[in-house]
Amino acid sequence: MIVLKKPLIASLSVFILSAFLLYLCVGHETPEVYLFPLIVSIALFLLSGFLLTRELLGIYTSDIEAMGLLKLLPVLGIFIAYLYAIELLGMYSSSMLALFLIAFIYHPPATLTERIKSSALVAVLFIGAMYILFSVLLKVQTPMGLLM
Amino acid sequence: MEFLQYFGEVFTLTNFTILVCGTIGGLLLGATPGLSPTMAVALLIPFTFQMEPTTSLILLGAVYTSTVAGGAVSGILVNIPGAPANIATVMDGHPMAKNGRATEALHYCFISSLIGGVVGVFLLIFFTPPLADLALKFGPPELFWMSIFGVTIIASLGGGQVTKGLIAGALGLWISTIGYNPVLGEERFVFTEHLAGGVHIIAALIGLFAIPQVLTLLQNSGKKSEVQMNSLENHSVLKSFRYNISRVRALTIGTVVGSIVGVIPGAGGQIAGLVAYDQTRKSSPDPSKFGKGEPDGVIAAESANNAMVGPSLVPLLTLGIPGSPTAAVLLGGLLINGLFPGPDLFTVHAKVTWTFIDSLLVGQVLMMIFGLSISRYSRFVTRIPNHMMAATVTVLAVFGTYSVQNSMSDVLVMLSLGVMMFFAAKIGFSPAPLVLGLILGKLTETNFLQGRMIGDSMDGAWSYFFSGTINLILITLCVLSIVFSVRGEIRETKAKREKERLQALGAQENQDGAAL
Repeated sequence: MIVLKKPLIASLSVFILSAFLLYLCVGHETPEVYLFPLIVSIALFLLSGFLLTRELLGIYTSDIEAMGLLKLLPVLGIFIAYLYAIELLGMYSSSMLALFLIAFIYHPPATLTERIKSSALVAVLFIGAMYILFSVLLKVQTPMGLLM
Repeated sequence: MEFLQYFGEVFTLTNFTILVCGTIGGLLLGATPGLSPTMAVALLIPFTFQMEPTTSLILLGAVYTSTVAGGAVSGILVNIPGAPANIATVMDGHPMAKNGRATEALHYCFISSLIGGVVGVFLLIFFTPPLADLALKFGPPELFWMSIFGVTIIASLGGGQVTKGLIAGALGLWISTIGYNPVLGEERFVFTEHLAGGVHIIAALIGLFAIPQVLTLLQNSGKKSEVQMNSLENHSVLKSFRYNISRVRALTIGTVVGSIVGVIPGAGGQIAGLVAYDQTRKSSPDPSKFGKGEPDGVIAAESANNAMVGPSLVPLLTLGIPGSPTAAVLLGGLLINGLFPGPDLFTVHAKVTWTFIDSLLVGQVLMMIFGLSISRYSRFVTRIPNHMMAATVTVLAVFGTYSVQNSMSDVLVMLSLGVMMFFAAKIGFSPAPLVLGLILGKLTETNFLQGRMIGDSMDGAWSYFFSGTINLILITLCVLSIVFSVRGEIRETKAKREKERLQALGAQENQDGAAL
């Protein structure tokens, strides 16, 4: 019986992805357009198949590090919210909010006031510097939402 | 001696100011743990858009050079290498600091970096033009095989896992095909409006190098730091200089190894430093001193990782094949400035190219001067907490990516690629081959399709791609790079298994002993 260990799951995922990429390259009306990606996909499929075979036969086992997903859930949530907030609130205000939240949530143990103070200070100073650099010096047009 | 002709360009007010700022900034960025040279250069590229190509390349080159040397500061003082290239430096640099010789170790680090770096840049100056002339003989099939060679070699040297490196390289090539077919102009793989123009190189570079680092920093945030900062003693620079110069063997090994490793595409400073350190230790009359604070260890490692910088640009500027992951990012910087590697760089764009190379030479001297004077203060940046660093890098990455094309789609692509790369790195994939595949993808496909058309009109595409001396040499090199890497991987696996077997055997003996 094959036991689905972490390295095997990883290799299987890579194999499925490469099979999907290969599938995307076939069956088109104009095969010429897809010729190069098709060759790359075939190479990718063969390589991932080789990796999976080695894992299945136990010839080679990958070193898999712990994902630590739980600790990263807040920042991944902030990333998604940040993308939406840029167009809603504006580039600078949403960036300040994102910076504050990341610094506040991942702050090492300290009193609440201390965490708020240091995170807010860095957020204000850094976004101020970004404003001078991008809007004043580089003249980059940033999305303007409800705020700025 | 064409390089002397443009030497004065480095000293114009704008160029020299940028060079000084880039050097100081690079030293501080390098000293910041968690901010690698590759990531620093990737984050910097968007800021260079408004600059002249010469100025922009001077800035990127100065940061590339000085981050490598700056990374030694945190390594020596707090035992955390600022960059992978400084791992070997730490082995004796930190013990020196613990023995109360921190300033001395920093002196050796910057003086050796200068010596190695200058030799490296001279190699770049003298070897690049003839190699660029050779590139004139390259047609579509040769350029195609050259690109494939670049991907295979960086994949093989990427992370020690050859198959995964090759998969990452192929995936990079695949991602580069999103958007339009470069010859037929037809759209493909555009599943969403965000992918309409394909994946922009800069968005990908920032995402793949900066976001995984942000997530790693946050994963490690909040942990109690047991870092101990070593104090800096007073030590004469002149005395250090005299001693450093007298260590001919360590300097020679470091400089020679660094220069050779630099020319090998994909190798990078980490390999240069470790190989030079190992060779110096082996050739020392008393190898037992190493690891306990032997200055030769610092001298060899630092001269090697800076000697690597110049030669790593030789294959980059002539053939478009980067010698290190940071050089791969620098290739992105060249391309967005409309500069394509090859002989044109030394004819059509001679002023830009030679001024850039000359600035690298001047940058080495500035790096030593500023390194010696500000290393005392750069220890403060090593105290920046992980969560603050991660938060600011995230915002910088978003601003930098957005400013490239004023596009939110680029930001979305950057963050998505970054998060995916973080998880891919956990299962053993490295970003360097993926980035190289992505950068070289368009070039590879264009040459493949053009070569096929030319070949079809002659004796057929197959014979066009698989005949000719240069083609055969390149194909052989591709095969050899894979074969040697696979052999290395097999050896590594065997050694790992043997270690595991011995550990199991030891545990069994302990159990038996306890039972008796």
